Amino acid sequence: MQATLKNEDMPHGNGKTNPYADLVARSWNNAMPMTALWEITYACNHKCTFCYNSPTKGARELSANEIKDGLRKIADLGCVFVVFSGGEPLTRPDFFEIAWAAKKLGFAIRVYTNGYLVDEIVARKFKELMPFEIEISFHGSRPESFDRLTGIPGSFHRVIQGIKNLRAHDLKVNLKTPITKWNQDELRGIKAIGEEYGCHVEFDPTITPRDDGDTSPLALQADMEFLDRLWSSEFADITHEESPVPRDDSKVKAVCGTGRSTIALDPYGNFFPCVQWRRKAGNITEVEDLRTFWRVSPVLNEVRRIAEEIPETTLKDFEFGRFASFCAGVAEVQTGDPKNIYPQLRANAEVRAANHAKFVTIQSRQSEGTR
Amino acid sequence: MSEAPLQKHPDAASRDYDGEAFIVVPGLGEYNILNPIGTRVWDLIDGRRGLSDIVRVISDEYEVPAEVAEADVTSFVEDLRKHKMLA
Repeated sequence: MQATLKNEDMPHGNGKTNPYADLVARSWNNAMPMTALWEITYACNHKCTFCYNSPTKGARELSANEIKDGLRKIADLGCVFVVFSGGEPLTRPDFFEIAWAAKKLGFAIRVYTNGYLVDEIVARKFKELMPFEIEISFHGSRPESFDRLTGIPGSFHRVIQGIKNLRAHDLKVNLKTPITKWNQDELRGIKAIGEEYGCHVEFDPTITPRDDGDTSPLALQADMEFLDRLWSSEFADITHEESPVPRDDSKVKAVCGTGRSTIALDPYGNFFPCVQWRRKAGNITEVEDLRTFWRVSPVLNEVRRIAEEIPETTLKDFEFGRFASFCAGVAEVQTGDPKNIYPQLRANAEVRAANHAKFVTIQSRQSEGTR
Repeated sequence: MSEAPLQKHPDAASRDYDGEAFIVVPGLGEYNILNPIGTRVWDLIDGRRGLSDIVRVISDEYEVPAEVAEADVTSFVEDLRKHKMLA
């Protein structure tokens, strides 16, 4: 008998295979999602102008019991991670009732929150729940920029206190910062705040339209001059790349995991192939056998097919295609076609390609100089 | 051999993928994947069975001598303890 325990850390992106990477690859290839992202409410106590949510007027958000029933179906689908998002999930008075139901169903729980409501009592409830991680949207290193982006005076100090309350219980907290023109000069300050409280910080350079196609959030995008610096070695500590690294197309089949790695749900129970691509596949309250439905759904099969075509068509024809982080959902909502290049993709890919070329030239000169 | 019931860590989250258990224990920052026999042992850890009960089941199901099953299961359970996957 060889009842060995196979234990591996997270893959480090070094190309080596490990059992976890193999499992993720299997999940991707077989389109069996390991993660469910559920926006359990669109209510929010912040007023971020760049938020992508677009609530449906008059629609009823699911009750705690309906969500619990949906969680059972998602567990049967095979998801082990559930992400509670919003809106602001903590505005639901029944948030912990829902989260505990998820825990009893064997989920590892992630919570996407703005941290504003995390006082001592809420932090203690989190300690009892013991989620896998809590991710807090964090918008600036100064109260002025932070509060301007959230639209709520005093939010910076409240959120910092929320982070302190969670970290006092040794809970894993990550910070996530969408880069906008109002905070683009504060990335190092935000990173320093993360380090001060023991939080990993992720930065996202792409602002997306609202889910209903409203492009007004794009007005807050970081400017081109800044993006050019962001993708240079100056910000290697932020982007984790000394120079932008081109995608290896020999290893890519689908452009992303839409319809494969994650199921996304809105507060009304509608579910989608991912959080960005809002093609409704069904409603969780109306589907009993989600595992079969997920496999045969025409909507899901179509988005999977399109995602596989994009590297062979759109990105192959696009001169900066190997530097593009393409999102078919954003393409569809912004241009009407999931295979179209959209402006912020072009901007990021262009500066990444240019910085990669500069880096290669410098390296080649250095190498000649050492001969 | 201990008769005390074995119990999973109360925070452990897990799913079975093609006969392999994927286990996450929040706070540890690592994922664990068990092979099919390890997964069977994991399933047998239910808060009621002790080590000797599990050894008996494994010995029967995999048709291995009891002393071999005992050595392997004991070592495996120690591994689980080391990785803080048990209560």
